[in-house]
Amino acid sequence: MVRSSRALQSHDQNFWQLGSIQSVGLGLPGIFYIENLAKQYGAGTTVLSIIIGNLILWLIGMVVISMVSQNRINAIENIKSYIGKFGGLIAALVFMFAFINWYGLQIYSSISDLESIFNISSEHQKSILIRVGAGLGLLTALLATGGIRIIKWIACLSLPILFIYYLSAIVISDYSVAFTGTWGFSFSGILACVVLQLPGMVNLPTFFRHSRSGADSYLALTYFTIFIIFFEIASIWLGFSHFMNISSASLFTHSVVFHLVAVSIFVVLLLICNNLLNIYFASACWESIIPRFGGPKGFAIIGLVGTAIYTFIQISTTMLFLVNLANSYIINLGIVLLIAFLVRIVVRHRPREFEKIINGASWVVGCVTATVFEVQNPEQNVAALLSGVGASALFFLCIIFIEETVWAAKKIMRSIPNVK
Amino acid sequence: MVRNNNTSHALPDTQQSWWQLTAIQLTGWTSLPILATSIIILQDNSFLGAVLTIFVGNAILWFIRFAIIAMSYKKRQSTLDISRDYLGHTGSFFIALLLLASTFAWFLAQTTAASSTLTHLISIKENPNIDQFTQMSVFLGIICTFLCMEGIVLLRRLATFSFPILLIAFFVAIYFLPDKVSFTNTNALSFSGLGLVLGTNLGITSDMPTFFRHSRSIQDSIKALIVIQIISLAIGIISLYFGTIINRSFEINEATVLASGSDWLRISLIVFVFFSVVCTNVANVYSGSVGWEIIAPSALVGRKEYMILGLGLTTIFVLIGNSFSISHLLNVSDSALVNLCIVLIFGYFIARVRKKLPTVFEQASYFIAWLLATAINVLQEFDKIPSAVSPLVIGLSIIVLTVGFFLIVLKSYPRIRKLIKKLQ
Repeated sequence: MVRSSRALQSHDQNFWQLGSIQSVGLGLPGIFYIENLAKQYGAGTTVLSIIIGNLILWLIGMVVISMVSQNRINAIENIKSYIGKFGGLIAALVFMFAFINWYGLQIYSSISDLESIFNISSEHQKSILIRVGAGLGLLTALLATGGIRIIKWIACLSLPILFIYYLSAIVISDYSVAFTGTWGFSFSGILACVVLQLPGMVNLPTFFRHSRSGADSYLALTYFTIFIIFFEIASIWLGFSHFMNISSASLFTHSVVFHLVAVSIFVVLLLICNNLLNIYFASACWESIIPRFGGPKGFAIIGLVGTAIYTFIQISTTMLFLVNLANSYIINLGIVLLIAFLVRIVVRHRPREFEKIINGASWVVGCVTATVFEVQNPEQNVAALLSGVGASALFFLCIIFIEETVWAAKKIMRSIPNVK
Repeated sequence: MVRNNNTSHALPDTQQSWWQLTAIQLTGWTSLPILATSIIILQDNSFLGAVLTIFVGNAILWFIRFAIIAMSYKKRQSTLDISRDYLGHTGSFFIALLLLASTFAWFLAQTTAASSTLTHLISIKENPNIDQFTQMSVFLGIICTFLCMEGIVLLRRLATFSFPILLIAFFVAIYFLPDKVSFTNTNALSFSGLGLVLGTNLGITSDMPTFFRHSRSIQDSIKALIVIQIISLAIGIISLYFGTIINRSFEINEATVLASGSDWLRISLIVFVFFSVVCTNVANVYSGSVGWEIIAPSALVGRKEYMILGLGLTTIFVLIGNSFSISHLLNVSDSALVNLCIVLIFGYFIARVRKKLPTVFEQASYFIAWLLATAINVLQEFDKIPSAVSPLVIGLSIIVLTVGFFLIVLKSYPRIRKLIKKLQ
């Protein structure tokens, strides 16, 4: 296994710090995603899907942590050890593209939400909000120059604030959610919940390489899974759309002002925390491509590019299509890594000279399949994703089948004395 | 790399040639306010009178700048280092704040003006709802931040690359100007014009040690200074023809440029404004970084300070730029820098005569002189006292009087002399 190209600055994070960093990873797009799931499947089914989906993610997280438990390597180095150097480079590019676009998407969602909350309609006010968005993007880039230490401290300080907000939003919210008759089991709902956090799981090594010990890593995994379940379930009650009614009220009472201030702080804090994670996730990819620009400089550059994407490209249809595609590639890669890890554990009886090529090829097959489906049906993201995953798994299965059969046959042939 | 006696880290890039020193200074200056100064002088003088004013002003500047460089080259001192020698530790803290405030004000002013100009000159067909000024501001801010990251090393490369481009763009713009300025005034050399030349350039002069400490040798510094003065003199005179397209608020009159129909003029101005603002901002950030080293916690000082400063300034600019006028801050910081230059020159000549660096008492007197002159300029800026007399003249008078009072009058009294000796 290859050690990270940059000497680690700290590997003394306990489970609380590791878990806090990951717990603040559910951004506004994630909250809206859960709200939409609740509208689509019903609140009860969504709650069950969240619990089951996150338990599956917990299991995946366990596997990912086990992959890197012996060495403190980041996600890209872990990927390189399974699909080779070239495959790792491609994966790094895909990850970077995705994270930087998510950076812009987070800012866009937050600013759009503030626009709704404050009922902004004039062009002048909208242009001010765009500047606020760009300013927040740059501020996040500035904070990121402090590295993992600053991220750790901001996450540890923000988590209680976010938790209190979620809790109070549930308690005092007048946004009602119907649960009666909505309980049920939905495979697509569970899959949707898994897909939401799977890219983060694949990138866990980037943060967990700072762990104090293996026990801290596993406990942190459990701890942040619990928080994420709580935040996702609580998102069903947040109902951001109902704030429009508050802000458009002609009478600005103290409670209205308090609500507006509280939700603004929540939105901004969530944006900063999420984008700090995005920057750090992307930094591992950046370091593998251009090691010279690693460290604080790399963090700043990623933040600057993300802000530029938000300011200049905004979120066009093309950009959303490409981001969905990148998501599919990343999730495919996650599944390939899991299967490859399991195969490594099971297949110990023979050498696998073409392991990395096979792993890389199955990822490519999955990506190509997902691309074809995505191009044909841009609205059917989950179908494209499932097709890609299915194609990768099927390809893997076929190759393993052929490999084992050929190996077994060759071994038997060698053991038989010369037959006339 | 050379270890600077007065800084906590080694000074990088100490082999800059005269050409590199020249390029850094001139790309940092050739911005609209400097050009507009020539036009303002022309409005009160004949053409020959304006030329003479610019010539005399630059000649005086050459001597002052030579003195500033001479006082700092031996120990490769920055502006803050020599401020510490002449104004004491407390004084240097104030100067650090001043450098940061000046950097902040100029960064905002330059980027706002350039964003506004480029937004009008560059026509990109976009959704009309998109705020192009914001996009341009963020674009310029991001470019400046990228180029700030490596400090003086990248600044040197940027300046060396950009200077010829700036010159070419400048001359192309001159060639394609729509109308030539008509020179109707008959006044010859004017003191107000002279004051304007000195007032505009002395603030920059006090910053020169920060850049010239990277010089290969004193000969390169002197050569660079001569070339800088000659070129800036030429640019100052040629700028007299820019009157048709630059207004009194130091902005390009885009309507005139666009109405001329000349694509060459438009493109050359775009190139000029873009490279000018980027180079000026990067140089400004480097200049402000010496102040940052004093003020900021040690964890934020070092190689990443340029990135932090650049990113911080860009963030502040994007959030609050163009929301309110910073002309007061700009004028006050400029006046303070001019006063600093005057105080340092005085201090240097007195030190040369006495053949030793200022004592604690002298440092205190220089600091009080600077503080008093700056305070009066602030009151002038906010119209609390009549501002009929130029701030430069007021500052100079107050400094001369204060320094004279402390050094000559008080030293005449034996008791006070004994007290001073005790303090030393």
